[in-house]
Amino acid sequence: MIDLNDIISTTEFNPLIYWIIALMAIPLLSFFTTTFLKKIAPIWGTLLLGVNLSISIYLASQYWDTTGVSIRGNWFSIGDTQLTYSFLIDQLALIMLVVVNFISVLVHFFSMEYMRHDENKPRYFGLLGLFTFSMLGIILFYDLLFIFIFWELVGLSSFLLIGFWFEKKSASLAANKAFIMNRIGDLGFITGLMILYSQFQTFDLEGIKSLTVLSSIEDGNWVAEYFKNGELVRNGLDGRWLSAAGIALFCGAVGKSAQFPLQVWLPDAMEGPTPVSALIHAATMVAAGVFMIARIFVILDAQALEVVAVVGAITAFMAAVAAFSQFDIKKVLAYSTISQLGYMVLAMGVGAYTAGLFHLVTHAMFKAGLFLSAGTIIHQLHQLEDKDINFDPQDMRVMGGLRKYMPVTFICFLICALALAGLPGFSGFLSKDAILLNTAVWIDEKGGGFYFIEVLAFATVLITAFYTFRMIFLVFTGDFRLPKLIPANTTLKPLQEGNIFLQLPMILLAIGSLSVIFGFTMKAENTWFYSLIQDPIFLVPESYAAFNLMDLPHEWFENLHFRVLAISIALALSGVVIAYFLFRPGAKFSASFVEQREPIGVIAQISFYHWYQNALYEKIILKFILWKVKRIAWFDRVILDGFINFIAKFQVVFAHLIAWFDRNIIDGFVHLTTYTTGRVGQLTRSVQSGNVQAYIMAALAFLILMLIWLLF
Amino acid sequence: MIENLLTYIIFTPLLGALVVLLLPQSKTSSFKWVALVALGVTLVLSVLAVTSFDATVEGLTNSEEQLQLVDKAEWFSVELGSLGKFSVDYFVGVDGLNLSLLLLAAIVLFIGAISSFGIKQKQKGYFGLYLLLSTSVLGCFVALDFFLFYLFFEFMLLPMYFLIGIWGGPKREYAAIKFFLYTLVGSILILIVMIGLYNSVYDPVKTGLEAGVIENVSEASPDMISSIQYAVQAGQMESENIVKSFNMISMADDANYLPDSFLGKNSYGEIFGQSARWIAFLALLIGFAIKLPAFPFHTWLPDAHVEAPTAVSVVLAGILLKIGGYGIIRTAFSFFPDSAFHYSWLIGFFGLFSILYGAMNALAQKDLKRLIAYSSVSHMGFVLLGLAAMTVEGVTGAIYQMFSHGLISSMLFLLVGVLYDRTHDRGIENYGGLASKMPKFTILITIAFFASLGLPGFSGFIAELMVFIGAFKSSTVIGAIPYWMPVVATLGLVLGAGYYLWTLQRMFFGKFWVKDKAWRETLVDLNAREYVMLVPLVILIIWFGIYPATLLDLINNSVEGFTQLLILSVE
Amino acid sequence: MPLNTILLLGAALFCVGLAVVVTRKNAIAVLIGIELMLNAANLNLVAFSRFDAVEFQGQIFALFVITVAAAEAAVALAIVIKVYQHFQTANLDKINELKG
Repeated sequence: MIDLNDIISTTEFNPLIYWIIALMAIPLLSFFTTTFLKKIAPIWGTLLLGVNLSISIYLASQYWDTTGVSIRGNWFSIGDTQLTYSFLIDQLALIMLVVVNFISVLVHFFSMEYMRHDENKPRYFGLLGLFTFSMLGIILFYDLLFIFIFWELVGLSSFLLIGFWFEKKSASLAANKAFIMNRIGDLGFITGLMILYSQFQTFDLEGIKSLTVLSSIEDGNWVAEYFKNGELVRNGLDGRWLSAAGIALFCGAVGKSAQFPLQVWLPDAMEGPTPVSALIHAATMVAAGVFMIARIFVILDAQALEVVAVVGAITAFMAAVAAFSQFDIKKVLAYSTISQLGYMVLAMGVGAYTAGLFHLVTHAMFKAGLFLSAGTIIHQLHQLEDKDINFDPQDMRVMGGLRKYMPVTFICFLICALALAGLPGFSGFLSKDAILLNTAVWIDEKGGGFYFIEVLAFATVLITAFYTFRMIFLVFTGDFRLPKLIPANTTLKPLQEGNIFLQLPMILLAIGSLSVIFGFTMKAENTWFYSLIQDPIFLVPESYAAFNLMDLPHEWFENLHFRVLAISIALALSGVVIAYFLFRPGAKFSASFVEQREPIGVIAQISFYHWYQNALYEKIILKFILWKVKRIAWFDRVILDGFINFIAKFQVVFAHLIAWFDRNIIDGFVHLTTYTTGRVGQLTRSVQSGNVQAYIMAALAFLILMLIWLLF
Repeated sequence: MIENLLTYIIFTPLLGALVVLLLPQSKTSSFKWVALVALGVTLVLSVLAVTSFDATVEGLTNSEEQLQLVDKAEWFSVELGSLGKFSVDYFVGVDGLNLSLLLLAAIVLFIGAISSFGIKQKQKGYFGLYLLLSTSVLGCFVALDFFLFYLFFEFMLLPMYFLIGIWGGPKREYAAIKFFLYTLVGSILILIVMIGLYNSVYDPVKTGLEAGVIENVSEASPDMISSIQYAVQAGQMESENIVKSFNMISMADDANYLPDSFLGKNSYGEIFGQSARWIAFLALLIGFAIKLPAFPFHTWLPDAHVEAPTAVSVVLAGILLKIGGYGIIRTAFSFFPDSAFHYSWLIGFFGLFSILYGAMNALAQKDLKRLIAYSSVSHMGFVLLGLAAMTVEGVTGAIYQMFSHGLISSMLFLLVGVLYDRTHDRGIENYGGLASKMPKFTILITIAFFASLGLPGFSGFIAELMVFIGAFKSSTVIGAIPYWMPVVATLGLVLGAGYYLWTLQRMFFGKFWVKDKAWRETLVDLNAREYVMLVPLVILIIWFGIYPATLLDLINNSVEGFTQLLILSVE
Repeated sequence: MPLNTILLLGAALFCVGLAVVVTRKNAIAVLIGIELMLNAANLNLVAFSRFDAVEFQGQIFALFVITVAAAEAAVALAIVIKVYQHFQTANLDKINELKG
């Protein structure tokens, strides 16, 4: 039997800890110092992040081949329970470190130009530092509690960055929505923490995993038996809590990674500055959910994984549909992000651990590239605005034909778009193909109703290619539409290509979106990424565990691979072709597009309003909650407090009653006595007339009476 | 190490109050400095008490050995002939259960004194009463004789009544009377139980002295005490030698209940067909739940807060509410652990209900101070939930929540006070976009809001997390409350985020707009005095959020002793 | 002369005196009435003394009564004069200071 304290005992000193501290301290330093630096804040922030990137690359090169170095120490103890912190530097953490720092540096660099004229840029760069710090925390810590802590902190930085332009009401509302939706997901995360803690008395993932292996199912109860401080601990929970723990933790990811049904915050989050959208809401933070699922992957049981897969597939499809009728270029990208995150989650759900993480990495590159390209367009269009000319620089209706004006942006955007659409030669193809293949194999094994997942996944391929190229045709081909939309007497400044600050990050990310980066191959299994990160084995008790994809015969993959490849390429290409016929310059939809206020047709309406999910939340659920809350406040004020006041008033009334009784009854009795006496006195005194003769008469009368009495 | 440290801590503010009284009325500006110095000394002494606290001492809550910094002297005693004798002690001391609250009280009172510098009228009376309040609050936390405790407990009401009733807002009389009467109802319940307990509990050491078994207190070894207890339980002790006692530590030990006494564990006294112990437990629980406050006894809180001046709100939310929680731990749970287990479902449910109910009410408020008052109800629900769990994590969480809420709510009320000082208005809807006008104020209130809604990195998170894990573990370990309670309680976190962020968005974000044009001039950013009182709180909140071991290492053993006591009674 | 006749005279005299005392408003007239009643008594006393040949107790009593009546008249008249000086009237109906 294993002792918990041995698993989570403090490790020996390792100089690596200095690097870890440095990695987290540098962005934090940026957060604390930029406010005081005013002018040089952008350069300072970018420099610090550059240092961080160098450290990550150095660490990656040092620890590339190790199986993972962990560092653990005590944080605090409750009773005899130790709560620890622990870091794990494994390949996954290293890759994430490099990706996050790389994109963060690029976004910092990009922002130097993008935010040049914003007077609050010290705050902006500080918040980017805070975000990077929190994100690195999620990556480096190997302890669910710490992951949760930094999980909430990225939520905070996301809140502050979405609401960066807080004077805009829509921005602050979007920030609130993001934070609260994330919080709803985090309820699940906390519930998961509670379940795991009550079973294992630790949050350390190493401890949880080691003890999960040893736990067993007895009579439908999930029993964990181990020693703790030399005493035998035997904790039992109903077996369903095992699934519940997985699903609850997944809820956290549903919030953070914008999965159905909490995904509505992400489109609104586009209110933040575009580089922020690239960093947080496309490349890194939203992927943290997937990263977290990867960290807890081995303790998910079959049921939890099914839920994960279903949610992922639904999200991917719904968001893809929502993306194809948007006018706002950032909204298209936002929905596309949700959709791609759905793919990653789906991958995790079917057990394709490596494929999901691979897609996380490739998506981080090409989606950040797309956002930064879009940012360049927005920034350059924004330059054209002046006091006479007002338009929304994010609206695709004012764009068109930008290929001629901004060729570099066009190339970068196109490369990243091809990666998004999943066409061969680009990184997205490799990872998406791997996900589709694994999904297909999983469903063949699983069978039954799960085929709809496959249908949704493949349908999403078609729609993705379609909306991506719709965007490209609308933005880059045809004529520039803006000059026709502005008042006749005004003239536009010429539209220019962005400068080096804007171009360099785009170009680097576009290069990162080429599949050669990951290996000269058409198969994901042949990339270096697959050689570094393998699918792990499930650790939950056997009767609850899902099957491992690795255990399935290799031929299944081989047989399906060509078919999946062919179908996905065919679907993607047909998506491109449909987009070409509908939105090429001069085509039917393209021509009428610019006049539309909102899309025409039922499907387009559903798409535009994202299945009316947001309306459901805001118009019905939120309204209901606010109504309910008002009722409760009314209850508190009128009924409960009223009851207290009633008691008080009743007492006062009662006191008055008593006082009346006292005054009138008790005191009245006394009064009656005196009154009676007084009346008697009144009566008797009338005899006392003061008239002497009357006295004599009286005396005489009595004398006579006495005589009569004496005599008779 | 200073002798009689706790006594100095308690009575330094009282000394300050005397000085305030003796100073002539004309020296208006000197009163606040007297108060500040007195409470500053108290704070230093309290920190000294915390640093000299030996965290390694172990023991059940009902043993006097685990107490530290004890001051004990007989106050008065009454001969009752053949009924024995009853004695009241001046008995103060700390263990892990009240140490953190003593520190909290000293910190909050000191900061409250700084914030009281804004008081302009009748300063002499104000600071005199404030110092009097300080003494009774501090005394309440360290008193270990029930009589003494009750004295301090009741004595809080008087200065509080006048502080709200004289220096308060427009409806101050109503609020003051409501506060006074409400708390008094609770006090009466406590008083009844106190009398019942005094009838049932004896002090073994004093009984030994009286009977001549031992010559002096130093001879009272644990063996000797248990032999005396055995003699009493067996009925061998002469009844006139039995010394009845208000000692709260003795009350927590079943062996100190007289045989056949009304509230003794094995005597089965009955009231309305219910076990007298259950009724007594409920009476204590309700008495302190009013103070806490828990649903449905909370309605005095919003009114008292809204009408009270800032510093009094701070003390009220920061410390007075904690006396409710502390009282439940020190009396109700310690004296009647078996009844606590019997009613744990109910306590947990009311805790849960307070969490959700308070949060929902906060969501509907239009007055900033009312909102924070209801959020206090919500946060104090965690204390009940953690206690009901009866696990180490849950109880630690409850104590930590009291400590952390003391700091956070103080900061929130101070911040509301800052705004109120400038405009004399607290309506959420009367402001908009304050962030652009008062950026530093906005930063601090954002920190306070996020700390209060339980963001990791702030002390509130640690507390709530411990309550959650402790409450969930409860069912596995001891079976006090069911699994679904903590799971449902997490909803409180979302509601908390809801009302705070909504307020933030309505008041601070968006375009700058205020209802009254004159406010544009008066709304200036924080001044130096306000920084002095707010920044230390921010530092403390963050410190206890990232390094909870500072406090937990001190209280761990006591909490374990407390939960051991609970578990032993269940078995 | 038979005794009865004298006693009847005395009684009649007494009744007249009493009537004067009770009905007259003037204080002096009331005094006169009183004198009449006293003398009615004297008449009775003298009449009864016919049966007391030895000691003449009745006649002596009558002498006493006359003396007392004289004193009484002197004191009463003095009071009446003072009353008159005080109230400016001797009408007994007006003088009712003692009315309760």
